[in-house]
Amino acid sequence: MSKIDRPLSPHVEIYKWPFPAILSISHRATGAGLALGAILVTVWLFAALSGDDAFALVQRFRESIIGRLMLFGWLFAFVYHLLNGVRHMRWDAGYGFDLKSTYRSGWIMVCGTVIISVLTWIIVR
Amino acid sequence: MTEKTHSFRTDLNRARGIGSAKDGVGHWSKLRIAAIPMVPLFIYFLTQIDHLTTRNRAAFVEWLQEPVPAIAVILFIVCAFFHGSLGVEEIIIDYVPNEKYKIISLIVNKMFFLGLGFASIYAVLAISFGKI
Repeated sequence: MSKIDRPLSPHVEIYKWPFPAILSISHRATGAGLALGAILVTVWLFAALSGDDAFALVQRFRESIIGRLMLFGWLFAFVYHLLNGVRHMRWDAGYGFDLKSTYRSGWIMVCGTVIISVLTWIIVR
Repeated sequence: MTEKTHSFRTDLNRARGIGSAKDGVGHWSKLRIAAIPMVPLFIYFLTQIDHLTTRNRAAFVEWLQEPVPAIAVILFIVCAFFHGSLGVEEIIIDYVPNEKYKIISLIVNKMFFLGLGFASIYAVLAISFGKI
């Protein structure tokens, strides 16, 4: 298959992203990130199973700067995905399809995500 | 193109062959059903945050040997990992056009979540039943 440089019709990269589109792709991105987190859940549980040293190592890593950044990232992604998931369920039930409610639920979700993840982070510290 | 315009098949007949994949509703509903328990589980885990973040392994093990925490963690693993495998499947189907790589990615994805899921459940059960 030879590739000819023909002009392409305008595609996503030349448009200014609408707010709901940013939220939509973020849902996917957070989901993909959370999927990788499955590895850490398994590592954590096995550390608890295998012994004091392994568990201490995991906890030390979690309390390091990189560990904290990662955990906050995952917490934020989890809360985002959870709340936006509820937003999706509402659409699935047939409510809130018009543009105005889409924007409103989007902002409620974003604010909720920031509030819940920051509050949770204060408890987790 | 010429072949199609001279076809003896009716438009309806041709459209029937093109139709939907007749598959996907199951995937769609499983994705959502697996997601629902995440809401109560997240709230439950928030109430248990001290146990989840403890540095003390003995305390963590003791917590995980209680029935409710053990069941909650196993339920979380089953629902989250199943939901995750379905979600990543959706991403692969959308973004990997090459049929060969698509199938390989789909298999790797299934193995990833099955492997980690069973391993995690094993770890919880081993701790719960005192194999430490």
